[in-house]
Amino acid sequence: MQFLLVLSVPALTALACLALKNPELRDRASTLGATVSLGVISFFAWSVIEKGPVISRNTYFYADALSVFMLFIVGLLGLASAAFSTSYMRHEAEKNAVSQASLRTYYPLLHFFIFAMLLTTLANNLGLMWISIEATTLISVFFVGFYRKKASIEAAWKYMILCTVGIAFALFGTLMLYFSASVSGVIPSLNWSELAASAHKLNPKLVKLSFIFILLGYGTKAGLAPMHTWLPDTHSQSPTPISALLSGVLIKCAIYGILRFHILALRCLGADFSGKLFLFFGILSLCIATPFILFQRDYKRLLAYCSIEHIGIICVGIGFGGPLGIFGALFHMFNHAIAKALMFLTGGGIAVKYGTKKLQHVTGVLKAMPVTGPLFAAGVLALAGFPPFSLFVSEFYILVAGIAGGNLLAASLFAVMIVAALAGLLFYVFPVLFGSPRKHIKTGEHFSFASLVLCCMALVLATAGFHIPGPLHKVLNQILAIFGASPV
Amino acid sequence: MALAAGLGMLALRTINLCIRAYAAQSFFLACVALTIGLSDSHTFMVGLIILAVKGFLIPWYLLRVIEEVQIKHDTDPFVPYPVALLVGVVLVVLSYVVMEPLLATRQAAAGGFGLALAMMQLGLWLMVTRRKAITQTIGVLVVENGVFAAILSMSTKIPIVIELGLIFDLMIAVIIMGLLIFRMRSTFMSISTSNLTRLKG
Repeated sequence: MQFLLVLSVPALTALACLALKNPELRDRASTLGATVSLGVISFFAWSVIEKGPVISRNTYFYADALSVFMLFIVGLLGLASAAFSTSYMRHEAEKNAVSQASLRTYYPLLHFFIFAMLLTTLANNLGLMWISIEATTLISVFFVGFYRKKASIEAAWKYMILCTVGIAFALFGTLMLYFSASVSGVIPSLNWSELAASAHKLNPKLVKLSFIFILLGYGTKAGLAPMHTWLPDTHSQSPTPISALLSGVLIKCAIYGILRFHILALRCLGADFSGKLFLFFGILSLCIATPFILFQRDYKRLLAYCSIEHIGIICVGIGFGGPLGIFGALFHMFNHAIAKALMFLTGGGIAVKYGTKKLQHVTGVLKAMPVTGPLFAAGVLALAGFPPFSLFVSEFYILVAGIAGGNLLAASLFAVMIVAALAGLLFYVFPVLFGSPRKHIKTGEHFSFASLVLCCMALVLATAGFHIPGPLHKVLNQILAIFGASPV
Repeated sequence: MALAAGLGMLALRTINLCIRAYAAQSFFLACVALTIGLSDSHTFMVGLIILAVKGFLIPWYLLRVIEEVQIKHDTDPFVPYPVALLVGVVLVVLSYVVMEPLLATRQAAAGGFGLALAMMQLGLWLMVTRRKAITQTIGVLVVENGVFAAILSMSTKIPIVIELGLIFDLMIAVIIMGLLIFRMRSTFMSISTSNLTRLKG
């Protein structure tokens, strides 16, 4: 019943947006729906944290601390993106970059996209989880090809082909796990809750093999190097509010999928096998993404490579393992989602104002945009991992976990790459922030509902560095218990 | 049979024949499902759906797409046909080697998983060796057929809702790919993926 409620809000919002012909009303319905959705999600999350995991009667849905953690991130970014969409897309329509007809499909698809991601986090049946992750690809490919330029068609094609094929391998891995259950004399089931209870009885060799397929498959969707090649194109070609969702939560939904299998592998094989694979792909992603961050001119591509870097950081944290590593990785997931949305959305505002995506043409943002400018600065500093922002804290946790676990080589590589990426990010962004804007740029801007949401996000990033909010700390500790680690 | 069709696609020069080979492969899978299904209504239904969707609907749609964009041959592939075929055979052998821990369980389904991985590898190989977007779509479909081979070979069945979901996702994916091919045609005046080299770095 609760599951139905959580899932029905975005679905109904999508239908409402489809039905409403009046653009003004449709925009309001979209923002309102996303707000209500976040409220319902928060309420649901709270009840799960207080009362423990819930499972639906037909066993297709299941929610524990890990699911509601992801659920909340999706809901939060969904709201930010929907709120920002109204002003941004109206501007795009005025510029004739998009037609009114495609706007009519934009809002329903946005909410269906959010719906598919929520479904991913709530699915207990691993087949259902696969279907919903594939559905996110099928819906978001529309956004990637939204502008109908040559570059966007190229990005859409790459995205479609690579992700569909990649994810087919994940399905293969899922089936193999199912098969291993029937070989090992466990009642075969695709339900995560049942597999988790009997994971220690599964055939270890088959679990290893299936985990490799899962990691490669969902790893493609998560943008892990070397399967990341579609990601910068996709994230830079789609409309900015969608880029925020793609970078902020979609790739983490794929990581969430891998984590579910990681937990099964941990219970079956111990920490060695899947943890090492995570570490390997994490470090590889860091090493491949960082050079591109150092030589990037287009701000959306810069942010996309940042996403690959941060996915790498999260995987390294999970790979280091131990309470600190996992805690740091999950906390980082939360922080990065917020920071990335903040960056894309404020960056989108700046691009609208200056009329370009190229960094070298933008100067004096702090003067020209008194609201967006400081928010953008906060986002950059947070993303670069400056104290006091919470990304610094989570990265620090991961580093400590690595050193404590004796992975000195990996930990030092990790530290070097993070510092290099930080330098690259600041080097490009400082000229954007300071100096004076060109003459034809008017200074000043409105304070809208979207700005309010963005302000709250910046505030969370700044304060969570000093003190992790109580409920968040509680959820993270409950997730640690699922991983079988002691609380932090 | 399914492998032969998969290998055959690597050597076939006209796209029309490739699509027909795909249809034959799906038809074979569906027949297997229907044979198993004689004693089990669940598999019988899945077999019927596979026959309808993969054996007829998707090939028909793809044939319409190539008719619309007027394309017959996938000329100058990245790898010459005989070499592609040879590598394909190696990939098949390799798949069975990788699946060794599965085969060691001596279950009937294990062979199915080996076949599945072999088909997935062939599909991938087809995608890398050819230039045209439509051939890449067929590659994706072959990969997907491989997964279905794995599903069919298992004696314990997954819920029908999930299987329907998988097939539905596949159908939507093919439709979207078709639309992208149309759009590619109208923007680039060609559906060769060699045009897709704008985005770098």
